[in-house]
Amino acid sequence: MKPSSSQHIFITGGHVIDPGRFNDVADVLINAGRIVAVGPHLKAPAGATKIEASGRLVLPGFVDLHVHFREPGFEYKESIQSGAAAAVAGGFTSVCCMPNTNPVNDNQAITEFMLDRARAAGLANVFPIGAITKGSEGKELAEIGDLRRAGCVAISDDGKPVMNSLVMRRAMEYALAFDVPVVDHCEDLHLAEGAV
Amino acid sequence: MNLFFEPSTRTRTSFELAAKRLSADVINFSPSSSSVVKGETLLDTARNIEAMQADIIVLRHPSAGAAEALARGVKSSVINAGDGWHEHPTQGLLDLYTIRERGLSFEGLRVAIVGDVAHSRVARSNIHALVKLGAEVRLVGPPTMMPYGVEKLGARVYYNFDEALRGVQVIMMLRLQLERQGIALFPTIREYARLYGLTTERVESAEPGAIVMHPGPINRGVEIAPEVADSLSSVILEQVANGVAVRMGILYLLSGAN
Repeated sequence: MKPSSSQHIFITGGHVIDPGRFNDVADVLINAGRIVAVGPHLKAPAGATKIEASGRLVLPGFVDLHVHFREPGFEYKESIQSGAAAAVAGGFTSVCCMPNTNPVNDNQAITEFMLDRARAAGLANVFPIGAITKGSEGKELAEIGDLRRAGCVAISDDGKPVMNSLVMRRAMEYALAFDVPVVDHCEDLHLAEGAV
Repeated sequence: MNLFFEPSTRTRTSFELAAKRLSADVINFSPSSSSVVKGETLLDTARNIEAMQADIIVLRHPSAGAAEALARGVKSSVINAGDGWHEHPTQGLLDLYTIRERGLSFEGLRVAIVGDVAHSRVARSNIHALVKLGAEVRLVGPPTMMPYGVEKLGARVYYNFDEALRGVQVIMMLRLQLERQGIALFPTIREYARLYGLTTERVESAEPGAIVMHPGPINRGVEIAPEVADSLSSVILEQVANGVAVRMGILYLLSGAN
């Protein structure tokens, strides 16, 4: 829902939490999709859409850096549409999707497909995370430059640790060129073998 | 005496021609057909060659510092024709000669050296020479191909080729050394070519009249587009021609002539 440029939204009486900046009962005035004022006893402009929030919490949109929208490949578990709907229902306006899809999100075609599906859903902001290695197999680097260009915001092999330290070193060095964070599952499978 | 412990066509032939044009007697020695396969050390091999009164030994060796070590052990003159990832000084000199022949002066000259700098003896020799002569050297490639602390040699590192090309007068491409790869320094040739391949558009984004260099052998369509290699900006074959002349000069000076 995008308000028109003249539209005001007035959220009144809720407990506003803006971490590190604000934590009290207050009103929030939004104009043209932007928060223009936060404070106690604000005056609502004429014609503003009023939302009564007494006894409720008013919070900024949450960001989840690690979600599993299983599309493509596992739509019977979760699709981008269903995942994005669940996200906004819980207050999450931005999500970062791990690449454990099938095929793995290790190339630009998959990334572009995911962004297409996210646009079609039109709910949360969906930011794909590309794979570190091809097929998340921990052997050869994925086309990290291409993934970044296509819209990936980070690279990760999700729950699979990159067990070859040289591959991990190359990945971190290579990622420097594209200013893309490397998200690592810090586990040594040799040490963890047989553990619960 | 050409002593080549690594495959080489260009450099070995260039030295051989240079020596022959100066009327020297040239022997080509390759380790596969010699006593090296029987376990002889480099120094012993060289001392035997020296005992046969070789005045100059031209050495190509996979170990950094091999030429330096050999020069300490024999009385003959030793020319480094490439030692590991360390240096390739005659290539550096012929590159400088080619730049100057094109009418460019070194002071303030903007040069981009592009590719696998970490494994390139050509890059290191050129960095030393160009920085010494006052040029601005930009090293371009993925971080996996940049040696640590290379800025200490006086060059600046760029990961973005297009950014590095602004105002550049000399574009020196390095060969993508596919035979040196263990765990790949880049994901695919496709991505490498897109990020660090020299295309006509990229040449046009540099300083007008910029020249394109490559020590060879070139991988067409990988680090250099075929139309760039064959374009008027390319001085690649001039480098090869000048290589003979520069090596003649080096051999001439080392032979004791004034």
